[in-house]
Amino acid sequence: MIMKEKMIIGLFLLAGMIIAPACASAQLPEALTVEFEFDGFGNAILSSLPVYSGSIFEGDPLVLGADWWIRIDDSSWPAPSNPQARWDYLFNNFATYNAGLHSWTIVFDEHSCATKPVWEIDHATNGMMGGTLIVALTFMDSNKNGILDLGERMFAVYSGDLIVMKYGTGLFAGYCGLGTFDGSLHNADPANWADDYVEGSCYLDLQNCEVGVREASWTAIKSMFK
Amino acid sequence: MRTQNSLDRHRFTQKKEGVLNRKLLLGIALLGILVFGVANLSAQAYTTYRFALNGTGSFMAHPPTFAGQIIGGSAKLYPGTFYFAFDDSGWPTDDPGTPQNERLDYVIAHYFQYDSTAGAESWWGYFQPSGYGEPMPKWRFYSAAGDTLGGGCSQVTIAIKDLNANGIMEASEYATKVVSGNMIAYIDYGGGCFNNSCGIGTFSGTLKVVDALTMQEEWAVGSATSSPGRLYIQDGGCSVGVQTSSWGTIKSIYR
Repeated sequence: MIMKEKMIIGLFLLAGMIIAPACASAQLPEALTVEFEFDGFGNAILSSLPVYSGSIFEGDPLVLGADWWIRIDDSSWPAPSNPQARWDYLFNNFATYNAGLHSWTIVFDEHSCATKPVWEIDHATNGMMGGTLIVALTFMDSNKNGILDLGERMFAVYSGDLIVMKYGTGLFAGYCGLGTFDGSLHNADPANWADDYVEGSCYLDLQNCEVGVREASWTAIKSMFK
Repeated sequence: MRTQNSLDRHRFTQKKEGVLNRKLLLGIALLGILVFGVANLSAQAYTTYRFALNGTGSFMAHPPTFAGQIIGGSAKLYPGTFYFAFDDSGWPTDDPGTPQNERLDYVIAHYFQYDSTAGAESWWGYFQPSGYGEPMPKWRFYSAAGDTLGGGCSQVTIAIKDLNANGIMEASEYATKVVSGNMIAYIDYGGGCFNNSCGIGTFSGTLKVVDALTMQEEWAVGSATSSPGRLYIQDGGCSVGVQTSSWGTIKSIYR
């Protein structure tokens, strides 16, 4: 009798397990790639806990129209009340000049910031996803004089990789993976610490990371028949 | 007679002053262009070219080179071919007599760092790592029309997700990577319509193992319908500093 009850419960659980993934796959596939174009603004010098944010204006309908943001941990930097000291700290400690390439590169990661920068994409109806990332920013030494002139600070390129954590919501719940992005940064008035305008492309390589849950379910079901 | 001589001298002085005034005005105009040009550097100096790439290569090769086709983007780059080459000085070769891959083990140990952040466990590879002074990866683009661009990468970053968060890089995890980087274009490698050009650029894409036996990997940046790669190219003013040469021109007026 006890064996029979256990078997019935087990069959219910098994049926639930089969139906649940079927529903999930009806929403989105097991693996998913998402490409989009974005732009926005930010100011790492004048803002404490700098946030670069904007919108996704072209690309996959899953994220089209969504808001995005990147937050940088500046707890180890000088306060923005002295923007020159803040810029000097960043430039003197983390900008690497490559004399062969005539360029400076600053990598924003857990070494230049206290923790790795974080990101998020929020779509009004499809949900949210986020994770960690690094950003590599390169300024060109156009006149090759070894000094980063104001004119050269008006334009830079950046690229980076990102991790998609499996804590998304809505359609993105359960997905995790990798991503990568690149683009350009424009500053109309670096002498007065104007906001940066950024634009770029992003690619996300997602997969269903809820496999662990299913493995656990199988184990639980098997244990009922031991 | 004295009056005539005086008038002639006056006319000569006026003529001399006129030449000086014209030179002064020309100098001021050039100075104005210089100041305006510097102030609008980002708005005027560069032309943006987009690109998409698809090729193959391997870290097992010497030198590790990823090469293939420019499959989309701006007309002056596409169609064409490309390559990215890494410097493998000091990298060991794989010993076929051992179960492990000595070369790949060295690459992972030398260039990658593990991030144990809960939920974001991953490996991050910086080419080249800071402080080692190793040569940066180099790149070349060759359009089918005969125009060429090339230079070095100021940064290439590769990320690998530790999907099961066990701190061990499984083959399936290594097989699916993302890659991004920043590029510097030298005038030395510009050819055809880019003969006097230099600039800066950036790319992002994937690096996936397509043959586990040979460790061939696919280097993909975008697709035929999306071109995430960017090159910001200036035509001229590359071999010497723009500001220096302009100042030299102004100075020469007064010689």
